[in-house]
Amino acid sequence: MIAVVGFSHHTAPIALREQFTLDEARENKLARTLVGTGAVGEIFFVSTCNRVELYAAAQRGAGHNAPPLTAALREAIIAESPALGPHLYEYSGSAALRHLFRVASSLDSMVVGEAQILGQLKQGYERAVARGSVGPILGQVFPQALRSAKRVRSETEIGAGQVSVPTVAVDLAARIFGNLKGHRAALVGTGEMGQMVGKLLRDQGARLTVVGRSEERSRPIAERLGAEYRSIFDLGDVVRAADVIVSSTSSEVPIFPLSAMTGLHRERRGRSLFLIDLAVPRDVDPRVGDLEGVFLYNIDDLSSAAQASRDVRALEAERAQKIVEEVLFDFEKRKSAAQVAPTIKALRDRAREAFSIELERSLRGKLRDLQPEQRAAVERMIDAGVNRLLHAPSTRLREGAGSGEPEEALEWARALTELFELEPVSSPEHTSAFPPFEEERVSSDDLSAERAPASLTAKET
Amino acid sequence: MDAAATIAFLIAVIGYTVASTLFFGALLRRAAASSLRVARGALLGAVVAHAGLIVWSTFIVRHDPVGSMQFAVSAAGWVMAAGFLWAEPRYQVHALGALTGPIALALLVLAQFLSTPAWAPPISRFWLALHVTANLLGVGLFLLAGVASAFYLYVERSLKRKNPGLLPAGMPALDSLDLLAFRFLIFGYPFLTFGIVTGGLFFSELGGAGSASLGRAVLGYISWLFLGTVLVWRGALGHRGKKSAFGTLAGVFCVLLLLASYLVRGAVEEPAGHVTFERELGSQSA
Repeated sequence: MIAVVGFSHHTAPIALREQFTLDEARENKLARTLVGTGAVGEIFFVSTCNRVELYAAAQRGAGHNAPPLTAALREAIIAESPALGPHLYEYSGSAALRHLFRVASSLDSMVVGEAQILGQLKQGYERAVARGSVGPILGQVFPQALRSAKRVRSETEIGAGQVSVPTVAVDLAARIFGNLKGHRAALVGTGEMGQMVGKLLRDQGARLTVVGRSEERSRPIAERLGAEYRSIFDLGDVVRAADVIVSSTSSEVPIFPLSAMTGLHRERRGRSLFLIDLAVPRDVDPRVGDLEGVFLYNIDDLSSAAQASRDVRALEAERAQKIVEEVLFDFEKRKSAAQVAPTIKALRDRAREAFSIELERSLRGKLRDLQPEQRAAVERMIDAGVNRLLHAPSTRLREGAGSGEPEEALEWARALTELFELEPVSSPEHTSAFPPFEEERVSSDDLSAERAPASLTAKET
Repeated sequence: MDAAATIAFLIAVIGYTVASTLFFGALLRRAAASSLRVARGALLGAVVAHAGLIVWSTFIVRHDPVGSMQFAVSAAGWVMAAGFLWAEPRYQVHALGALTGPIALALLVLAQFLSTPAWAPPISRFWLALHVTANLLGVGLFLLAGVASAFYLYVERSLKRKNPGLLPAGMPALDSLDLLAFRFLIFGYPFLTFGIVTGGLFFSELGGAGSASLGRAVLGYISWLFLGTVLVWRGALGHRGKKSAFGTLAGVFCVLLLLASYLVRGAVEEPAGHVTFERELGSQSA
């Protein structure tokens, strides 16, 4: 059985989330502690700024004294951050699988459809593989989560469009100019959202200029953004040279009036200009947007575009959920089919064994004069008889187990085991050699590691 | 068509179809690199097969490439597809393939339904061949410029009206489309100029021609003038944007009209020059 216990932005505010973060050293320590309880056999962690989750599989042959899996995971978290107790959620079995698939497919993210979560999930899993805390159960489950995520990405528009004002602005700039590397962007004013847009533009390779009234206030911002500083009195030159202008001043009157912009536009000779007006009241005269080659978007325009993308994603999330259910159904079907396979094999072995004993006895008695070819023919005949006899029950058992409602087939398998005194070879989930947990990898340093700062942990958004 | 030509034709048709479909997919959503590789491969296969078909038609079956509209239409499509194949990875304009591919395919198929006109103008075969080739190269490149301009106008309109959601994910950037249209105009214009000059010389050599020929000549000059104005407007004066795109489309429309007038030439007229020449031949032999 697998289970997950954790908390996320759905259940815990940031003030609580920041109390419990995991880095590699703390993961190692926690994994060792949990395995030591006797309840946990395999485990990996997901730690982002929006969630921490512990995915675990029960230890093989866990003794009666071992606590239930979810209880062990829950206690491990509460031991470190008691305040998180009421904010934890837990799932086990199919519900845990569904949750993992949803997380991997970005359906449980704060921004539905964001792509980072899959990478963060993979990193968490890879750390667990390196640590040796992943075995056959989680090893089977995790590829299914990846499969679900890939299908959702490729078959839906879950990641379509941009969903925040700054990213919409930068996306529009790319729609106009393509690669922004080498293009000139100007940030007029020092509004917070303007700075965010400026930073994103610079990250895309644009050469950024910060224009401000007060050098004392604007220059440090320019330096922090890796931009050049220009005075507001150079605004004309800035407009002539810029491809993108982000304006977010607190001016009461437009600082880009139509009259001035018309002249400057003529000097630009039709070069495209993307004006992003984030100010309220507006910094750019709305009529400037009518000039050819000028694309003017204010805060409402950008918000509408972001909302439109969010609406699309919400619709696509419904399709994505269906894909998650399909992958889950398919996986569970195959898992159930695999569960009866050992019973079928044991039944056949038992039948062959019985016939072999009788055959040997006959070959030593009445049939002792048979030639080797004749003996071989009798053995083949018995083998064919066993196959023919067991074909129908084997097929029905397999089909029943893979039908999506495998309980009845599993009951048959149990009955066969009892009736024929089989010693079933368990399914991989039960019998595969559990990978040795590499305790030597957990150093004493890890064990005494202080809580890692939040900035070192992976980010979901 | 013999077997080899049929195979080349089918390969070209399949190649253009596959490439068009995949490039259309790249227009709707950002395409995977593998999908683009397949699209380019299919287009390359189609272009090679198409070239083989043109060579077969010219050198083996010996359709007169100079007087054959079949050759002209087919070759214009080929130039267009080859030009796109060159430009697509350089300017990251995969989405243009959604229009370029189908046009090349349509021209390839259309060429199969055109017959070779019996008329061969009585002028130097060498210069006539150069004239036709230059015009075809020009037409192919202008078609690409027209496609880029049409996409430009759509993107510009969507952005101006603040409907960026209407733009498919794979749509090229506005400035890339503007630059691409300009580049194709620059490449195509010398060919058109050569075609116009040689056409004018032939026109006078044929001792004047019928009204249809005169109309074609005028249409040729108008196209040349239109596209030349756009080039000066865009290149020398540095003006870009919607007006350049509309000018390019108008010029390309004139060029297409010119091409269409040649398509219907055999059906509606008998060239005056041809008749005169025949009569002269007849009187000399008599």
